[in-house]
Amino acid sequence: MAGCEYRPYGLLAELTYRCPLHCPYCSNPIRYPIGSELPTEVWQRVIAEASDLGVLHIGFSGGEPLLRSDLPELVNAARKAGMYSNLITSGIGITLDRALELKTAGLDNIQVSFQAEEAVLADAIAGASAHAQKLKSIEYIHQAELALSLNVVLHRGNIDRIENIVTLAETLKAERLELANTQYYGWAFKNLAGLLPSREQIESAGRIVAAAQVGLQGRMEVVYVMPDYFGDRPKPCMNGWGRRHITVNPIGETLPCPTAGAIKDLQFDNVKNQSLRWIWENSAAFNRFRGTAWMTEPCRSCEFREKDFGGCRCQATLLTGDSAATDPACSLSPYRSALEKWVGGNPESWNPGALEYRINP
Amino acid sequence: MIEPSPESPLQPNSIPGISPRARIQTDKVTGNPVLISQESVLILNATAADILALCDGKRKVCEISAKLATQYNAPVEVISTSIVTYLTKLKQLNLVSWRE
Ligand SMILES: C[S@@+](CC[C@H](N)C(=O)[O-])C[C@H]1O[C@@H](n2cnc3c(N)ncnc32)[C@H](O)[C@@H]1O
Ligand code: SF4
Ligand code: SF4
Repeated sequence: MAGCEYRPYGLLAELTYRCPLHCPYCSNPIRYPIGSELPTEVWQRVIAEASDLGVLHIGFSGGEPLLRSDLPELVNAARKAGMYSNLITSGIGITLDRALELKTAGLDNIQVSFQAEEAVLADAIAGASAHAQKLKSIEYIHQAELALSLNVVLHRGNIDRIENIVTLAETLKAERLELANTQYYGWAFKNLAGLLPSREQIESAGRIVAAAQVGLQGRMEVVYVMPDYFGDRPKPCMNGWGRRHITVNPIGETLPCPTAGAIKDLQFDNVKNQSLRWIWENSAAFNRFRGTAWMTEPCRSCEFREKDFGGCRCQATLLTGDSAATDPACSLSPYRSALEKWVGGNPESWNPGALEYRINP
Repeated sequence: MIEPSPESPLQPNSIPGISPRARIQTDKVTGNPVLISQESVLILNATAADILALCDGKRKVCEISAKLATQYNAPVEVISTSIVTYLTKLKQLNLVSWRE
């Protein structure tokens, strides 16, 4: 564990799996781990320990983190520990008082997700009446002078509206807009057939985003998260397993990435029983895919193995059943067909009624 | 809060400040100053840290240049050029802004 090869910069604190919305694209696990949510004191300890490990960014997420009444206390713990904090939220549950309280506690940024730019489609995707409340939340966020980012998860049902979505973000005075193609984990993987866009949709979206990025430079940052299924090389997932990131889930299990629960042969240590440093250094789950010795061919002898780390372990597991296989997002993967059968050949049209909506634990 | 002014280039009289979405922090592991925002951690070298420490939303660029020129015992034109280059780069990343 010498040097800075393994140093966490980011902690994702998933405070609860409870959520008022039911997005079918949600990356949360389909089967929630069983146990009680971590109490305030344990989160405070985890935050302090993360800071000592070198973590500079903390994301409060879930589920819906605003459902935790101790959120301002946790934000304040992060501020005291010298971390940059981001609240990742649906925006449901923000009042002016809440926004001011979070600002006072030291929150650096709030990232609100939208499902679309207009209410009818947005609410159909969220499986709840949410859009109007989100717009109201944005007003409170500005009144509290919190820095605002918007996040919109893209799929077959909304990707053709990117231009309108960019306009919404400008109207709402966001400083940053994240247009993220759905990553197919959790509920999203279950709904893959209904959510995956066509290649034409992806290509046209890419052109519109590129133009918007140029047009808005210096005013609003537009980040585009490319879709995994349409390229030839995998993403360098999490910048390497157990290298830069820690996720702690609502019951305290500690994971190298938010979706690692998909990998059934991993056991996750719990912050209720161990310190974060112990877990970072010793947890079998963190050590499982560090370095390159675990790799199978073609990664094992590939020149890119230390650049993309063989891609995403969760995606490899979901598509091939083998957690150590090359990510099928790589064209060299022997399981490439597991992914290609969806791309281009996906016959389904947008039909939200056919999707399985996320349910609460 | 400083309102972004996208079209205007940095002038001697511009007043730069760190964007409200970013802040300077000391990295506990290395001891280096870093500029953190939601998406990035920029490690600041000594000069960058000196420049940003003076970008307090009150001082003009010409004042910052003069101060650093004295501090470094260097020609003010040279200092001023590197300040403009550096701040313009950070502006593109939306990490600083300025008003006239
Ligand atoms: C799981 S959500 C939890 C926070 C909050 N409930 C929300 O939706 O904003 C965390 C972030 O991931 C995004 N997200 C959810 N599912 C995703 C997926 N399958 N792929 C990419 N991003 C996803 C959300 O839009 C949100 O910004
Ligand atoms: S269902 Fe939607 S709002 Fe709730 S956690 Fe998932 S992505 Fe966030
Ligand atoms: S074979 Fe493995 S290491 Fe090589 S490019 Fe593909 S995923 Fe990356």
